Amino acid sequence: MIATFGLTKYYETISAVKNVDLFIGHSEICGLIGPNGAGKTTLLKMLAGLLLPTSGRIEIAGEEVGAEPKKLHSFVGYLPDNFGLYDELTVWQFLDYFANAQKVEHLSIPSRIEKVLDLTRLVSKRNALVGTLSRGMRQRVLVAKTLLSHPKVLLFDEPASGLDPLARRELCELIKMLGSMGQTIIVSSHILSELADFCTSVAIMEQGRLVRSGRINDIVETLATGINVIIEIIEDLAEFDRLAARLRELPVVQKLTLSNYKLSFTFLGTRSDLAQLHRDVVLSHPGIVSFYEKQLTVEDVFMAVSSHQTS
Amino acid sequence: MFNNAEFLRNVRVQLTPRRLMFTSGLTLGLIIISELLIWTATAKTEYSPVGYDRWAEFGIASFNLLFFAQIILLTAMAPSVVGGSIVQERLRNTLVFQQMTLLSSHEVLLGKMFGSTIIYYVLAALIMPFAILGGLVARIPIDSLVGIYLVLLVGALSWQAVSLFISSSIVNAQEAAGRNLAGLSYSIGGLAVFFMMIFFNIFWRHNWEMQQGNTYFFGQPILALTFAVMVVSFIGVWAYIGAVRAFKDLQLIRLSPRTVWYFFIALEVILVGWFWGGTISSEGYADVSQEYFKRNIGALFVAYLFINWIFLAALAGISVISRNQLREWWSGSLDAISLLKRSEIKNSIINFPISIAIVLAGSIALWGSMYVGLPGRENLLLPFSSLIAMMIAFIVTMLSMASFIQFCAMYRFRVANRAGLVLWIMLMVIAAIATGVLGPESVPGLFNPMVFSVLLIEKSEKALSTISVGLLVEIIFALLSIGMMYWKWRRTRDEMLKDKD
Repeated sequence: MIATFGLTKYYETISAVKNVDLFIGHSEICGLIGPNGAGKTTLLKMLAGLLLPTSGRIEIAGEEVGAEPKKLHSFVGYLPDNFGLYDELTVWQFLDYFANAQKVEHLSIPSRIEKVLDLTRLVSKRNALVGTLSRGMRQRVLVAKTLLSHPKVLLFDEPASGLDPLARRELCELIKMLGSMGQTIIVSSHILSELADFCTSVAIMEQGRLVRSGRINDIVETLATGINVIIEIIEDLAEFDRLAARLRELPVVQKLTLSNYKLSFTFLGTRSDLAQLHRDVVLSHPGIVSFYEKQLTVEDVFMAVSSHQTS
Repeated sequence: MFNNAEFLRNVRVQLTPRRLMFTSGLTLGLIIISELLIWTATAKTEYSPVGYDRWAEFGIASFNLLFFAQIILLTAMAPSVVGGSIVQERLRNTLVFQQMTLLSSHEVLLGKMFGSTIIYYVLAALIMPFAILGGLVARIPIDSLVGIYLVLLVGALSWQAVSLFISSSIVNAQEAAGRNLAGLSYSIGGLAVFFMMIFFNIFWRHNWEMQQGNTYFFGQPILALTFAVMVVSFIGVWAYIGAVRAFKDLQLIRLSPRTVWYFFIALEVILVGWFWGGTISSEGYADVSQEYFKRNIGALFVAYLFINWIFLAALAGISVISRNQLREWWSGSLDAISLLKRSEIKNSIINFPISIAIVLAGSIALWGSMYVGLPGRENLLLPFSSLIAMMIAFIVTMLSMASFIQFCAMYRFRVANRAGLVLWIMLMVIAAIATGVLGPESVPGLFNPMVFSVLLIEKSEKALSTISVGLLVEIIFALLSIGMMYWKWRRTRDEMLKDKD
């Protein structure tokens, strides 16, 4: 759905984006991760046709963009980080303006507006002035406006910045719902926990370069060197030390860390070996509260592949 | 227009029922109060002259006041607001919507031009019947009234286009110096009123009677007012075209280089037509002294070159090649974007000599027109050799100017590409001051092709030495500018290739 080849953008002597080859499949929700200044916004702006790359190619939905970024505007929806709205209009008037500006077929505009209002749960606010809405509501108005023209690709630039926890939760739900409807989405963020919930793939950027990209499961597989296990125990120091000593003796247990009556380690054996270990440990240590496998999160993936450098 | 989304959005914001009712009510109230005050003030007194016509006095005072109010609404408020409507998009972070809209640049700009100013047009329309009534009472001729309103409308639209052009050009400026020009649209409004007041003062006098003075365009008599309206329309149309180009640039749409050529062709047509045959009418020919005639031709040639110099300087400033573009020039990439950027750089380079060629073609036409228009006076006219010397001096100066501006653009100035242009203007101002002190035949004087041209036209006693010294001074400066540009060009190239590695 989205492919870039050697995409590069220079600002004077600074390379904001350097030689990025990115491939994102249809209906994927891709988390664009990186520290501030990694080049995420520049990359998104180039994908949205708002910035002409210094060199490289962009292909979206089979369409080669080449030197005419304006082509992108008919099928890419871009939601900027720092955005303003036409505060003097009501929500309905605002959407009516954009439906006309995006050349939505005239007769279908009212029904289309109703549909996006329903999708973004803004029906009750249709006659409210945009200027009177909260930041979370304004974010939803922006999403509604973007959905009016059936974009093939949605680009969210730091969508949760400035939102309270509840609004952030609602936005995550909205993005998840859009993803379930088959929309291809790129969401940039430097707050990794935001993305963990709904991303199917990630692209990690650092200092303008794409460090790693692909489906989360595929990356986890390539990164995984064993099974990550966590054992929690009651607050009994003697019991805790005994269990730690026993685990240290096992050659299949690696990277054992102890903290707050919690033991984390990487198990290098098979899953049936792990089941055996589970049985033995639970039977011989009655103070065990829980024994579970920890899945790699987006954050773990980022920490594993990133060199933790900022521009 | 009524299907234009941008127009409708602006109308929804500007023309809310409450605002419309309030402003209309207030305007009507003020009209009634002012009419009553004028009626009282124009009452016949013991000092009134014999045959005093109170109605005529009331009518003209009423018309003057109401027409002035319309000038303020349409040429001060409307251009200020229309320019502000673009700058506002940047200030409230909605510019991205304008960049991504599927509306054409014309739809957006016309929508803003008429939508954001609609309230002023409504109020002006509300005032208009009262003003016309006042005019009729004052026995202002109908053709004069029609002319006044036509000029007001053309002037208002032209100034709005100028404001739109300037705002569109600066709205995406990355440098602080560019963004700080946001208040400029309000200055344009002030300038527009000043200009329009002078305009009306020249063409309508004695209780708004139209002046029927003639001028000549390509040697043919034409109403001076018609010509003036033509010039104002020329400014408006090209400002609007400039605004469309600036807006397309904002949306990353490819621009055609030919528009610049068409502009220079249109400019030369206006200037050559205006200065055709020395603008001395055949009727006044016998009364014009030979000395005056010689000076007049010189002044027209210098004015022609000077006006073109201003536009060529602006073109050199706009089409200068930035460091980013130079990086692209040397990148050697073969993808579509790189090829496009290189073709744009080529266009920038080609545009300048083509524009100079158009200006020179115009100057030859102007020179020829003086022989056509004034047969038998050839001895007073500029010899072809002098014309060639002037053209060489002009070309050399334009090349040194373009090289100097390009030299500055390769430095990292805070005001980027504009630095070269500003420094060039400062250099010329200093040279002009030095000319004032040292005289026109001094080195700083000859450095300026306008002074050089005047000396040639006036056939200075030292004509030959003037030509040679003048050309020498200008060529030395041109070589210096080209040399500096080449040196910086090489250094920048080395820097960028090193950085690429």
